[in-house]
Amino acid sequence: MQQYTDAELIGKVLTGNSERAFKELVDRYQRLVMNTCRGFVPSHSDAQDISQEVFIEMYQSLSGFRGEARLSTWLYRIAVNKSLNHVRRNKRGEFFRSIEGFFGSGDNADELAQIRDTKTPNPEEQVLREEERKRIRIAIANLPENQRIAFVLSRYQDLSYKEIAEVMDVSLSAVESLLFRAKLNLQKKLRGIERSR
Amino acid sequence: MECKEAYRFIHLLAEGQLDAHTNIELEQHLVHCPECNSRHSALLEVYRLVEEEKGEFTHDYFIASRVWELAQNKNSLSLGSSPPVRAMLISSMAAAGILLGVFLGSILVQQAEIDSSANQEWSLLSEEYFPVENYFIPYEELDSNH
Repeated sequence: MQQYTDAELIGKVLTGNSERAFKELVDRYQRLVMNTCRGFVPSHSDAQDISQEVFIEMYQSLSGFRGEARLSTWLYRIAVNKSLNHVRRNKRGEFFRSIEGFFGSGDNADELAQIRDTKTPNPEEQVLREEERKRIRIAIANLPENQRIAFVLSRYQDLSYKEIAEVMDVSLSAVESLLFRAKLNLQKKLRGIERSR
Repeated sequence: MECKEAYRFIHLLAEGQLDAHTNIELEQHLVHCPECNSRHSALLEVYRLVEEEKGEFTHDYFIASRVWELAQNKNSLSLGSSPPVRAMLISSMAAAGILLGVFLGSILVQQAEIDSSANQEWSLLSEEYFPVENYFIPYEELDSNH
C-alpha cells in the first residue's frame, strides 16, 4: 500500500469510512499505544484490552481531531486516560477481592502455579525475580499520578521533555520537576532491591 | 560529594547523562556510601524492568480487525439508540428540581395567603371588640396640644 500521511488516512476514514485506512492507522500506532498502556498496568493482556479501547475511542472521536497537534500526541493522551481509568476501576475491584481474601475465599495455589516455570534450571530464582518485578511495579503504580504519567512517557516511550510537556499540557520545567521527583521516589521506595545477576 | 548532592545526580548516572568530572565524583561517592549505592542500583533495576516490558511487545495482526468490527457495532448501536443515559439523567433531575421548586413556591404562596386572610379576620375581630376611636392614642393628643 502506498505510504499515506496520517492526515490522508484520517481523511479517508472520515469521508469514505475506509476500513483499510483505519487499519493502517492502527498498525502504525499499535506499539506506541501498547507500550504506553503497559507502563500503567501490570499485565500484557490488560494492556492489550486497553489498547483496543484506545483505538475504538480514536475511531469514534476522529471527526473531532483538529490536526493542530500530532496524531501521536492525541493518542498518548487517550492511552494515558484510558489506562488511568482502568487502574481506578481495578482498585475498586481489588478492595473487594482483598475482603474475599480476608475471609479465606482466595487461593494462592494458582498464583504459584503461574510463577513456576519448569524449563528454568532455577525456579526459585524465577520466583525471586517475579517478586522483585512485582515490587517495582507496585512502586511505579504508587507514584503520584502526574509523576507516573511523566515517568511512563519518558521511559516507556522515550519522549523528550518537550514532547511530554505537549502531551501533558504542562511547562517544560514542570516535566523536569515531575520526572526528578518520580525518580527520587522510586529510589527511596526500592533501595535495597538486589541487582539481578 | 555529600549524599544530598549525590541524590541530584544518581538518576543522571543511571541514564548515562553525567559529564565526566561529576561522573567520577559520584562513582567515588557510591563506593563509600551504601545508601546512595542502593538507590542507584534500585533505579537501574527499574530501568531494566522497563526495557524488558518494552521488549515484550509483539505486533498483534488482528487488533485492527477486532477494533474495526467493535467500532462498527458501537456505531450502529448509537445511531438507533436513545440519547446517552447520563444526559437524560441530568435533564430529568433538572426538571424534577424545577417542579419541586414550583411546588414549594406554591405552598409558600398559599400559606402566605392563608396567613394574610387569618390576619384580616383577627383585625376585624379586634376592631369589633376594641374599636379604634375609643383608644387613647398619645401622639395625636400631644400633637393637638401644641
